[in-house]
Amino acid sequence: MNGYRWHTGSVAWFLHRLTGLALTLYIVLHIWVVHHLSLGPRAFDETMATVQSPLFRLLEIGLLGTVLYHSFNGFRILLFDLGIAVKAQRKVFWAAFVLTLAVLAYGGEKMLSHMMH
Amino acid sequence: MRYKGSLRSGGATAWFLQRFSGLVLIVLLLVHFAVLHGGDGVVTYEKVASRLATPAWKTFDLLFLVLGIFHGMNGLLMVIRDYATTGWKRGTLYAAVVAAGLVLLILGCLTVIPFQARLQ
Repeated sequence: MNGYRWHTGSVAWFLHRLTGLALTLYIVLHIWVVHHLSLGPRAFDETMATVQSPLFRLLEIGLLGTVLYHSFNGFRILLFDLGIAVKAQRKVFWAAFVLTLAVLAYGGEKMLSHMMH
Repeated sequence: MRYKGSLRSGGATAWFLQRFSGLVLIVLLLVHFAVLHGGDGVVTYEKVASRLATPAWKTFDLLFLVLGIFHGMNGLLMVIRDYATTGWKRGTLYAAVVAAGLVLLILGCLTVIPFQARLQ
């Protein structure tokens, strides 16, 4: 692709950066939203009404997928740094990928059913 | 060329702390998700306030806050280290990231530490 060779390792690295940047942006917004707690019950519940609207609920499922990938792949990086399973790096990437999808399906279903009620 | 400049130190420490904070964040996130999405999934002032009024949750949230900000900002520093090639550019971006991290830390601490539940 464009003269650059995409291996599982480089795809994993790229996705790790991308999800990491997204999560960093998210934590900024999250700290801003949660700070409304100190402005009292009304301010907080009004803010929560916005960020718990159906649109944000859907985005939140995307957030779950983002944090799951970053966690599982981060754990994969940690294993390699400790010298564990380095030779099986492709398999471990796919394991992280499948785990991400599996837990996303479980959590996403829960969050969707919360949204419906 | 890439690793020239006066701000290149701390690579190994940054690397280790990123792994360590990441691992602890996974554990904290599990608790966070279980508590916030375990019930009916609706977050209200009442629910959050009853938790955050206790020292144990304040400690939990402070740890979460510090590690989360550190991990995010340290990650940004790693990205900057890869792309900003001159010492001047790198120094400016480093300073911006550290300043942003401190602002977030102060805002977060101001939310968590003095928090007392208020009635409607």
